[in-house]
Amino acid sequence: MLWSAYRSQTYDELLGPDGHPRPGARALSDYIAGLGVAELEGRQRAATAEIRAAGITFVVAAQEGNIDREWPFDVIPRVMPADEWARIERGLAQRLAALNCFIDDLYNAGRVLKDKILPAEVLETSRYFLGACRGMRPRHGVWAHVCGSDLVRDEDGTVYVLEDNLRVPSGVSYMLENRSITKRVFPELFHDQRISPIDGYTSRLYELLVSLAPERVTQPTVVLLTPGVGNAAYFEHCYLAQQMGIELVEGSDLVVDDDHVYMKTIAGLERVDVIYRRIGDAHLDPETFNPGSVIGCAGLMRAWRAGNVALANAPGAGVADDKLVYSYVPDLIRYYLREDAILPNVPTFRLCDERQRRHVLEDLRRFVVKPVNESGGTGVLVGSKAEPGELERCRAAVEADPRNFVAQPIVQLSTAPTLCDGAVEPRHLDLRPFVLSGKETYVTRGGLTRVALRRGSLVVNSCQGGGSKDTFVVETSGGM
Amino acid sequence: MLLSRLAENAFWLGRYVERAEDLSRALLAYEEIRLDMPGQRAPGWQSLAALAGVDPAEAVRLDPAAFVGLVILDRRNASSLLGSLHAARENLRRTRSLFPAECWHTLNALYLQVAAAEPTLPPAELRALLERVVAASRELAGQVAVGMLRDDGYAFLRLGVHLERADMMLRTAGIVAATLMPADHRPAFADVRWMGLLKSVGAYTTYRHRYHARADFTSTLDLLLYEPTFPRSLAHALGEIDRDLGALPARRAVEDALQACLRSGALETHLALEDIVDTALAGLARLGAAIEEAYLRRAPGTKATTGAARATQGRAPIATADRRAAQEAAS
Repeated sequence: MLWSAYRSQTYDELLGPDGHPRPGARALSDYIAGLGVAELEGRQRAATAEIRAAGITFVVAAQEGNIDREWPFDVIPRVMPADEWARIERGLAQRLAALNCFIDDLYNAGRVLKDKILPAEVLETSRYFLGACRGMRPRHGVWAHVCGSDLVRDEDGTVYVLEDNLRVPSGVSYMLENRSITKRVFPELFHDQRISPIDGYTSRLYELLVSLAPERVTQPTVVLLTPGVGNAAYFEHCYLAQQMGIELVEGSDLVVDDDHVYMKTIAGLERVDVIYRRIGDAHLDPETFNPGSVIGCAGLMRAWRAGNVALANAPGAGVADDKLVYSYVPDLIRYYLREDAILPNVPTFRLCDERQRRHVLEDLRRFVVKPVNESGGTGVLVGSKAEPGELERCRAAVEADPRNFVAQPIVQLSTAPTLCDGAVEPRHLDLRPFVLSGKETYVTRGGLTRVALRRGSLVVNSCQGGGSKDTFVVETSGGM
Repeated sequence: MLLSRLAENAFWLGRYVERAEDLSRALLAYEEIRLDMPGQRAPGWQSLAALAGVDPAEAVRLDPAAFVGLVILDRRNASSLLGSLHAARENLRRTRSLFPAECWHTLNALYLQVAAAEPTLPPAELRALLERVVAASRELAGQVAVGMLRDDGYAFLRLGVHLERADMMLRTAGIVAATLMPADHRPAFADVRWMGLLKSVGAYTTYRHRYHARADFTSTLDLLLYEPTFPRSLAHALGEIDRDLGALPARRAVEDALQACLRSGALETHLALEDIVDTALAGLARLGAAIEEAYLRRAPGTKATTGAARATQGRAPIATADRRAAQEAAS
């Protein structure tokens, strides 16, 4: 029996501590056991062949220049019961509502500072607060239109928000592709249980983008702005542009004239009304930000400020992405919405606070130390796995620039069964659902599950060897 | 409306795939002719190296492995075989959504195969590799012919193919004229040489079918330049270019450049072949430049150079600066 040898050291998503399937997971665990490892490996090979044929890749920077890697995918899906998901969905919608109120407030009245909910120093030292955005009121009061929040579950089963990605979150195309692969290699699974479909995302995204167009425009031209073929998420940019039927443009395709944005076509210039930009703020407009940028478009900010083009996400939205600001999100939810946070934060120590810093530095090995403004796992130190030298370097870096770091207790990420070298073993994972905010809020059913493929590893980032799984949100009311 | 950048990539995809095919054809013909000229050192055929932007004076001194290394396997030279395939692949990589999905598989597999070849590969394997390039190029043409929308991207791909095909045919003919033909047009093995020229531009069987006889100057020229029903002739290429331009927004400068090419097609054969070739090449260069000027965008740092240095001519905007690559990756 496949499950008899399966043991997780922490919370497992599929099986409870007694070895029985969790709510919603029975159909999958029976099915996997019925297949056996050899058949599972056959399906894994079919999935990998599918990924290769479809050209589902991401770009890894290497010495030889950038190379396309096939998307790493594990065939065994991860299960989430629908009633639990409903709570997570409400929690994310609540969180994004508060974060958008917060960003809009920061760039306008600044009540949150006057009421001393957030200390002014946090803002003054934030790398992602952009003075050029002051006084702007994007449509619907929304700045972070597309958000990918990372969720983790600890050993007692609590789901936490680990971080919010409000700048240019990526991964949604892989979520969609994972499902289409699973449907091909495990069609049987979809027959006798109710798994929520997820394919409405690109239509929702397109509708959201159209709704952002300047008011006088009746049939807006929407484009996706990519840094180019060398970007890690270039596959996703192509995928989304194609799914929405919009042009995939690079900065050099755009030109700003008289505060309007145009794209260069073979018939001349064509006006652009909405830009879903996948370029970071710093490179967006050499006229306003980094003057050395060759992937942005000069004058974009002028056009945006004049209300002649919509940018999603809005410039400056990343201010709420700072991991120090993250530590205030439960307060922000209370302040703006007068509600308690539905989804808790991972407890976070602010290292600019002397007392908290001393507490953390006393025993660094119990913590994860993170730079506040990085993404993709860059610069993160997991104390329990670090060499003595690394610990010392981290301590020195924290003491030199405490504002630049936060620390969190090490969360023992939950596991799910994963096919590894001829056996089904527990591997740690997280979950990145995507939230679209406009006039209404839309949360994907499930999200992108990322899994650490090495035994015991807690690093799930794709650029650091992580894999992925399809995520089933399963209706449990039918008695399963 | 099609983005200028994508149109440019489609145009250069067409040019580079065609360049790789035509260079392979010329080299294959060279091998065959060399074997058919007993006792001679196949004089001047190293000049075909000029097609790949390698100085013929230098090519004469190269041993076979060095010749293959420079003319076939130098990735940094966008006119060598591997360089052309690399540039074609980069252009397709940026325009995959315009083309049938299988095109990527075909071109990528071909590129990887040529990139894996060693300069020391034996003649028989070299020959197989060159034949594979020709076959894959035909495969791509078939995939496009039956699988692609007749849209603007299709028009630009074909504009690139036909400009390059005519350009390479003329260059090959020009090399033969400049290096092989004594003033009296009666070199040793004259018919072998003319047949060689016909083979190198893929015209051999057509010529046989039409003229039956041994190849000579007048009929060869007639076929290569003025025969509209022969699909690799200059006249045919100009006819196709005319048709594809008809599908695009009209541009006066392009129309003028095309008319100038068509007029030069009425040249008399009493002129020296070199002069005919030079006039026709210059006309094609002006037409190519007019198309780029009217519809396409030139990326920074990729200004075309003029003069004899073939290697630097017609470089597509794929050589993105390091800085740009770093920002792409970082953003």
